[in-house]
Amino acid sequence: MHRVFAVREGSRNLEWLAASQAENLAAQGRLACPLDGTVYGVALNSRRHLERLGAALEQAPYVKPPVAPVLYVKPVNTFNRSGGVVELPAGVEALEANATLAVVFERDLAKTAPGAVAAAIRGYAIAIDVCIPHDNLHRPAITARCRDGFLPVGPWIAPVADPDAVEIVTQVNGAEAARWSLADLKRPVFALVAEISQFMTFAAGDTLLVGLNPDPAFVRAGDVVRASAEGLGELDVTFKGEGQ
Amino acid sequence: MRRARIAWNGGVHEAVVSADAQSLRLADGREVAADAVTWLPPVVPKTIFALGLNYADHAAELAFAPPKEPLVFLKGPNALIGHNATTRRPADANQMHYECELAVVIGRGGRGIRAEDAHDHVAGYTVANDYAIREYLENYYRPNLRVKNRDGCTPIGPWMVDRDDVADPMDLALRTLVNGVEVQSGRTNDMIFAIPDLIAFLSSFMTLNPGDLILTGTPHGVVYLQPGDVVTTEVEGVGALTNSLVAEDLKSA
Repeated sequence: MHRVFAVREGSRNLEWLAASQAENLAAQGRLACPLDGTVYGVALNSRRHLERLGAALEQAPYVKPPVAPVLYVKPVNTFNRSGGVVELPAGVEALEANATLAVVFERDLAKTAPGAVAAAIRGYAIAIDVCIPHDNLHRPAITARCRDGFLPVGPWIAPVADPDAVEIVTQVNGAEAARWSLADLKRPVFALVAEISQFMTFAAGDTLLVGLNPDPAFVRAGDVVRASAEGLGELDVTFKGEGQ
Repeated sequence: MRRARIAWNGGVHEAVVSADAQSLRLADGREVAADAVTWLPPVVPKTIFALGLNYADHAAELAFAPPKEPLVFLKGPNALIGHNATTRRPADANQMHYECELAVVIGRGGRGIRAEDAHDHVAGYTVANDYAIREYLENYYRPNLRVKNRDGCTPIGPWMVDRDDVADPMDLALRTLVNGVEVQSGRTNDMIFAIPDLIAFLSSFMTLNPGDLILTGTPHGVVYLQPGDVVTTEVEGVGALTNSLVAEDLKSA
């Protein structure tokens, strides 16, 4: 029987549920965010994005293209769930809703070769990395990326045969707004994990968002967003104005 | 009161440090000699904030104009390591340096905390050494995680001092000793963004949680380190945190 990891609303425990049961709970909006560890994200891991930026990466403030993976942290206050609501901060008209793949680790992993990564992975989930749009990547974008609720993830964590073959579709109000194939990744998933693990440990429960779509969806107050990928379900989020 | 987290006799304990710092008292009343314990990071944070360029003299030293809003970056718990531990220095890290910092521990979380109320949200203070490796700096989300989120590259401790035992956290001397020689000194009143301003700034757009850590930045005075160097970062009235550098080598600890 096909099974997935999920956290039921009101619980704190990850359960290994039958997919059909998880689907029912998700349809009723009764699954919580399935994450608990530290979440890291990676910017500029899209070949298309790097090609588009081209010579700009040789100029100030960057001076030269990135050598190491460009990482950021999504802290715990950003965690959100399928069926959740994201608030637009006051004065912000549109948010970037960048649907990506979350890799969740089952075991501590450090200084690992790409071929040994799969054995340390619990599974994968859809994530929508929300941010206030910003072009300048010179300084950590805490105020743009780390607001409450800015990381919906779910509805569940499931195995994926080949993470680099995943395609994520984003619909806004029922119409396709973005589509991203992970074949675009500059560093494929296992190589990315292995390279980062050379200087930091991914602990059991930690999560890595594998990259950002250079052509994401942009959303406004009142928009309903659905991100989906085969086998990983549908992640539904509503965007509202602050205080609405 | 000075509160520590320690490993001792095969278990992890919260402990209170004695007045002379020679012993610790466990929750059940047992007394343990300070030199018999392994010091762990004194708190288990949810979110770890750190400040770049938050001392006017250090910003000038690195040839940066003082920032207009706090330059905040985040770390994971993998970076933290307790008092008297060793930190690994990669073979090619010829420009690795300490950064002595006053660290604030959040006691009561919240959102939209006003600067004038910030003191009420603090549990206490500890000392951090936010090591950096300048060779690995890149201009993308700088300071980048390869510099600032390395395993065990942020010693913290030895303990947390309760908020009310520090009369004025914005008027404390900081200093760093390398092999017993003072190489860095400063005063927290030289911070560009003071602790209440940092708490107000962060909580203006995100919810803070109990146990969250804010490493408030480091003053002027950078010297590059070698394996074998013993580094003590010290904040007046809070504590002295010692760490030793070792060459990174998978085969030995």
